Amino acid sequence: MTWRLLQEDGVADSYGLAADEAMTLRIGQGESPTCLRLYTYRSHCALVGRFQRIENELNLGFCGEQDIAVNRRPTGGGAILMGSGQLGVAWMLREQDGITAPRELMRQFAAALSSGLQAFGIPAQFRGKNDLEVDGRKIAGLGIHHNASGGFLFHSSLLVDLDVRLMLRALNIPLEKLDDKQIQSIEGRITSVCKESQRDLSVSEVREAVADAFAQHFGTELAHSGFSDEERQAIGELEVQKYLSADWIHQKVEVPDLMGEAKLKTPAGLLDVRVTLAGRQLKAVFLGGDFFASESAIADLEGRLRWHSSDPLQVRNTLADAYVRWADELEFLPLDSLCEVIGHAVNAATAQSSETGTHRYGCFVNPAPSHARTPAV
Amino acid sequence: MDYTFPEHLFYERVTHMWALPESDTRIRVGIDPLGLSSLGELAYLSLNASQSRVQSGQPMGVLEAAKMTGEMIAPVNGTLVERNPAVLEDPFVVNQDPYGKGWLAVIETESWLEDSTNLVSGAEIPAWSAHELERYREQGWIEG
Repeated sequence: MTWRLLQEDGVADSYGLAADEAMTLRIGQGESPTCLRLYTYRSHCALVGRFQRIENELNLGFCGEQDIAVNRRPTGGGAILMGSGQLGVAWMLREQDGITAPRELMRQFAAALSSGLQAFGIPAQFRGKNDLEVDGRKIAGLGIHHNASGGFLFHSSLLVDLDVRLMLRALNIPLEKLDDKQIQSIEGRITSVCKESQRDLSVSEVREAVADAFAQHFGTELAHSGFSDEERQAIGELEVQKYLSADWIHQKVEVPDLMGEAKLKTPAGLLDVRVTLAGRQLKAVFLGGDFFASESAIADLEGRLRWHSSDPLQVRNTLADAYVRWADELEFLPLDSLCEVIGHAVNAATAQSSETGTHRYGCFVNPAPSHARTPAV
Repeated sequence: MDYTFPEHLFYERVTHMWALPESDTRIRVGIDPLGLSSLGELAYLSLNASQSRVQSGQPMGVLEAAKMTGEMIAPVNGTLVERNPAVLEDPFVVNQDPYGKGWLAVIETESWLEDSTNLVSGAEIPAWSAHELERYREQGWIEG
């Protein structure tokens, strides 16, 4: 079994997105074998998730001033900043008889990426719906898109390096409204290959390690490849029709984002929880307060609840698993209290009827401290 | 999850879209529970514009669920004449009541007699649904 290995650098946002989608379509139609595409975008572009409101998620004025291109991905999740220091990893394959379910394939995709990072001594683990983390700090975001032709696109943005402050500005996080502790809290939840390895690694070195890891993990050979004329034409057409179209980039989303906040005084201290919901899904959870617990444990709890059902029983089950892992670190944060306050925050969010007060969240950041509704608890 | 397949509906064999003929030309469509189980809870959903043409086997909308983003495939040819505002506002309604309040759209068609021959119906449903349940379990789409 031989896969195609496609490598490109400095691509435009519209071209990069169109290439992933056009190739996934063609692979689904049986016109190409499985492809692994490892590429970088031209610095910088900000890409929102499939259903995000771009005007909410991005600081469009800042992006315009800084010449940061903006676009919309076919995959879900939060907004990301891409450029020469972030490696795009697109694994494109065809649905066929005997295919393992997407979530299992996602685990395999994450395992191959982790294996690539292991080459630099970085112990990354797949967490929640779409995170690759190192000790609770996110190093890559993952997503899946399935199209009508039966093609699957597994995509990751791997942070080889990252200017966190630039990302926060582009992603519409109001830095001036955050204190140092809050900014450090956000920065503490994000990491990069260079930071973890304590080496000044190039994207090329990381790309090579990732390609080797995929070949080894899946027992396949990778053949260096470029796009055929026919593929280039398909990519170009999709780029014009979709990814250069303002209708696509600035499209309206009918499902409102809902924010809720709740506070609860416990013997362990004050719990301050903020949630962002899409429908009944928890898009993001921020756990704050003056209780005593390790930053890694809290980041792990937040990661497990990202893109998680808001159903109270499912939330409790997920948190209970985490409490087994972090028994010592969460000793002073009672599970019952945490479940209770999350439930109140969810109720506050679902009680919202207008879009005012919606809050931004990115693929790598949780919502900033808010002025969301706080129920009396 | 309760994987029932009411026998008055028609089902697309692979995509698990259901179709309910309300007349010879007006077809209400949705997703069955097995199709939903492979997606997880729906977070976002968009449907093609009202009065747009849809083609059997081609996308009629896009969704973002717990497990992935994906396209919803039209089970019949025709014109999308009605979209369910309740699911556009709160897609989780589809998970809660896939055959009832969670319907997706109404398609007006002039080819129902022909299109319906490609769908599973009536006495075929028990054997097809049992086979699909087995396939979904074997391939890891659902547990148990």
